[in-house]
Amino acid sequence: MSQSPVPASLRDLLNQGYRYALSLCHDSSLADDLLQEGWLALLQANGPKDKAYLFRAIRTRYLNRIKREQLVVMVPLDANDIDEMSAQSDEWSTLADFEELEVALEQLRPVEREALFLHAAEGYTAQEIGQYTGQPRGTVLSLVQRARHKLKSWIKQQREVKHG
Amino acid sequence: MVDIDRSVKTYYDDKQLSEQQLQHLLALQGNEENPVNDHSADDPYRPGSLGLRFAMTFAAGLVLVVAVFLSGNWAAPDIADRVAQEVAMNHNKALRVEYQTDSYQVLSREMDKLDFDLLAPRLMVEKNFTLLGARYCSIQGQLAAQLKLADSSGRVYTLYQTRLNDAFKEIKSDFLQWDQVSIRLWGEQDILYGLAVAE
Repeated sequence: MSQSPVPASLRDLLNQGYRYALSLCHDSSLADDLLQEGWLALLQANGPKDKAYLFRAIRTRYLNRIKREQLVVMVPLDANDIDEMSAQSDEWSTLADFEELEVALEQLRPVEREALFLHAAEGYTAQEIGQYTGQPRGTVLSLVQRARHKLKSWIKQQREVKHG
Repeated sequence: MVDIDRSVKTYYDDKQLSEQQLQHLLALQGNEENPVNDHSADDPYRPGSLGLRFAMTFAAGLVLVVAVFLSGNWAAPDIADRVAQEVAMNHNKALRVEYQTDSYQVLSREMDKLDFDLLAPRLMVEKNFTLLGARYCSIQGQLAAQLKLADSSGRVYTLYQTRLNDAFKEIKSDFLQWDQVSIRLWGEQDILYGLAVAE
């Protein structure tokens, strides 16, 4: 079969869908399946080819695949404990490398990885993520903070072990 | 943005679909040119606009009328075509198995998300295929198993099993071809089987 050029906008959309699926399952094969299923559903429903619709289709299929109880809703932190996500003080001064993150992200629960991905990689606010995932803003803030804390702690621990 | 966020963004930005995966997904659209919504331009013929939709609908209608006139048949893909297309795509992905075993019993026990037992269909037994392993997949949005098998000459096949639902019951046993893959679809007891091999 001859290959036709993939339009840039479509390529971006599908790659965004793939990354989002990856943030949910952290498994490239499963992410591939989730994207295909979500994409197929979008086409069959003649839905809009936009990110929000595709993400929703992928998320629904992911939730169908796993037991619902695995996505435990977090208890929100006290609102006074958190301002805006972008305003958090950060003692982390070194960027994590690719291999460290590959393993560290695996330590997160899917909801934590999803929230961190949507905020850090896609640039959504806690309010927007909350609307999209059906969770209170405080819960999203909590998920992002816990995800960051877990990643930092895990990487720090690994570096200490590595360097004695 | 905090450093860990930057690291996370860099990590995910680096993740890309391969050209082959992109082509597979593009193929799902069929031949229809249907660009992504950008919601920005005022051009009446911009993607998704009423003008473009009208023009495309008119053109599609004209093509359909001519096609029907010439062939006397409706050209819409039926469920067998859609399943065959999906089976071919899954086959071409050549993804690794998640459960490596030559025992259907072990597979059935391990792949407990399936609501049916994985069995060797008659054809596989008669032809003496060897089971290599399996993984989860989906057929038309329904959970399915993709089994990897080899025949006596070492040629690798993928076999798909999923529960026969009302839509799948319409599929008649058939040989189909898609994307340089030969596909055989058939039902046996309550299970839909699809066997795929590269042409």
